[in-house]
This record gives sequence, structure tokens and C-alpha cells, in this order.
Amino acid sequence: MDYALGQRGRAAIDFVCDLRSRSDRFEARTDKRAIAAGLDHATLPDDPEQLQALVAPLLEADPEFRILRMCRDWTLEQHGQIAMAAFDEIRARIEPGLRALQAGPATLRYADDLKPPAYWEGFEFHKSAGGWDGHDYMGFVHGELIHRRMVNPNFAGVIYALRKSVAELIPMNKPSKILEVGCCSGQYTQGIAEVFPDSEIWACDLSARQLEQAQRYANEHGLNWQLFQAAGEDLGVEDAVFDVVTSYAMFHELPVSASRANLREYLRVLQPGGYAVIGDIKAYHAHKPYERWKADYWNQEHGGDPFWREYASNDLAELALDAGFAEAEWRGIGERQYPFVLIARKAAANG
Amino acid sequence: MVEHNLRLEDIDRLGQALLTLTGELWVTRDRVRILEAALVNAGVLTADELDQLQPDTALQTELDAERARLIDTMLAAFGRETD
Repeated sequence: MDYALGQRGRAAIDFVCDLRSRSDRFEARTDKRAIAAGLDHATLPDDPEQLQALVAPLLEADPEFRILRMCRDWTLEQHGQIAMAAFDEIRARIEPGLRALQAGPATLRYADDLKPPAYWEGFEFHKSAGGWDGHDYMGFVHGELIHRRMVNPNFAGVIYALRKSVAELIPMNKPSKILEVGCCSGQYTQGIAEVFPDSEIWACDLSARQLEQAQRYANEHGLNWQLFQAAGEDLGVEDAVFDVVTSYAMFHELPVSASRANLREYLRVLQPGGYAVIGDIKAYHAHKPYERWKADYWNQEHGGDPFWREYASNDLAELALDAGFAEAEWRGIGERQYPFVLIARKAAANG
Repeated sequence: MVEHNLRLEDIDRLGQALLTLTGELWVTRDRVRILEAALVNAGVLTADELDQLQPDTALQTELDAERARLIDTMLAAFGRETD
């Protein structure tokens, strides 16, 4: 949907983006000093907590590192408020258009008796004020203002291409029915729909506000997505109905017990021979020590991602095999090994 | 792990950065206010129209460069800028 921000919202969002990118110089310089001091050495401990205890005090003693952290803390703590204020500034102008987009080919089924998992309820992931549901248009605020206008520029504009690249790894030519779990405002769903335009696409999330934004996107583009509110560990659909169950950037927001429960549930709803395809952050074992420390420090310790370390330290292929999948491979994509993707196959009917 | 981003030895630089930022902010506020008054007095536009005005590509490029300069000025006051 075409829209223009107001002067205050536009200028404030531009400032957040530029403060983030301009302060990255401190990261480049502290990296250089840290590596020169031997902090990328292979003999550093593998254990993330031991690595934190060893490396964090050295970096925190560097004044430029502390300024970098101050800038990032400010950005994390303010970006949600700034995005909500930017929406409220233009609400009167765009709300009729947003309401109109609730009608169309996409359906949305709310859960009447949803019991959100403890790890999800009341927690603001990424320190994003408002969380997933804290504004009546939080799906637009998160999907458009935070993700498209703030996050995407800070990832060199590739976040949508990364999502689509995971859909391209789905090892089936024409799956008839695909389920995406944790679809949020529909950004990976868009990639799936582009790669598999003839497939029936279902997508679920716990957040009603995010699902509403996914529905608006689908309606605007004439897509008949079937959206429903559910947790990945309790999908509320029949056994063996999907050819593919997939997700992007959701598993690192789950404790490992929920990852296991999700994988068991995917196995239940997959047809024999069907695939689970999970794209997410880089596994810790694939990082060099200093890179691993940085990922852990900025996400687990300071990024509002409480399960990042737990996820990245595990072996998702092993979890999939434990859940009952017949085959499972978990590997990094491309030179940067990002994202890491699990491809797990359910046994065919004849074994 | 430390509880705070800034330590005692950072406080003076924080004060410098805040003063620098406040100076930049006032220059901008002064410019905006006299520009608004001039435009409204000349009947070019109203205050509401100003809120909804969208910069064209050339103006956006200029704003991007100005914003980068403002942030760099503030960060230079914080950091030691060794490069």
C-alpha cells in the first residue's frame, strides 16, 4: 500500500537508521583492536558463557565500544516508540485504506481459546516497544515501519531476498500445500508465494495484529493465503495434510523444549515424504571465536533475544531426528553461511 | 559485566556531545521557525501543509547528507576518532 510518512515520523526514522549505520565505525575499529589483541584465536573457549566472561570485560574497557553500545541501546529502546508515533501521525490518512485491505481473497481465523506459551507472552523481543500486539496496527508498525524502513536498510536491503532464498531451498517442485509457522506480518510468506505461485499457502502466528498485516498484504496482491492464529507446537489442524512446513527466523525465539515440540507437531501434520524447512541464524559452531562472541553479546546479552544462545548452541538436525524425521541436514547457506537452514524429511508411507 | 554504558571518565565527553548536539539543534530550530514564518506570511502554505510536504529526490539527498553530518559531529565528540 502506498503511503507517505509525516515530517516528524520520517525524520525520526531516518535518524534512527543513520545513528545505527554511522556508529558502526566504532564496531569496525573495536573489532580491529580486538583481533589484533588475539581475541579471534582458536584456543578461546567454545562455551558461550566462558567466552563472554573472558572477552566482554576486555571490550567494555574500550571507550569506543561503550559508545557503540550506548548508541545501540538507545536505538533498541526507542525504535518501537518512534515507529508507533510515526504511525499515529498519519493514522487518519491511511486507516481507511488499511481497513479496506481486510477484505479480499485471504482468510484469517482467530483462535478463541488461545493460550500463549510462557516464553512468548508479555515479552518484548528485540526490546521492541509494543511487542507484537501492543498497538491496534502493530502489524503495520512492525512490518512496514520497523522491518521495511529500519531493519532492512541496516541489513544492506537484503532481508526479503534472504527469506526468498530459503523458500528456494524447499526440495519439491510443486508442493500442493505449504504451511508457514510464525509468519509474523508475512514477509517470508511473500517469498514462498513468489517461489511457489501455484501452491496453497497456509500461515500461522500467535500475534493477531501481525496476522492482520499479512492478510492486508495478501489481499492487496490478490493472494488467497489461509491465515490462522496458533502456536507452532499446537497447530490445531488434522494429521498429514501438508507437503511442506516451513519457518524463517522463528526458532531462535523459542526455548529448546518448544523447538522439540514444534518439530514433533510438524511431523504430525506433514504428509509421508513431506519436508520441514527451517531458516534461521547461524549456528555457533560455524562462527570464529570472536564472531561468536559478538553474535552472543549483541543478541543474547543486549539484543532482547533470550533464547538466541540456546538455539545457536544446539544441533537442529539432531533435534529433528529425535523428533522422528527420517533424514535431517542443517547447514549454512553461501559464503557467509547465513542463514542456517534445516531440511528434514518425514519417512515415506512405505518407510 | 558492567551495569552502565558510561563510566566516570566518559562523563566529560558526554557533556561535550550534549552541548554540540544542542547547538546543532538550535541552529536547525531557528532556521525552521523563521522559514515557517516567512512561508506562512507570504501565503505560500499553511502550517498543516508543511507537515504533509514530501521531499523530492534532490532535497532528500541533501537531507540525508545533513543528517549524516549531524550524527557524525555528535559521535566525534563521544569517540576518540583514531582513524
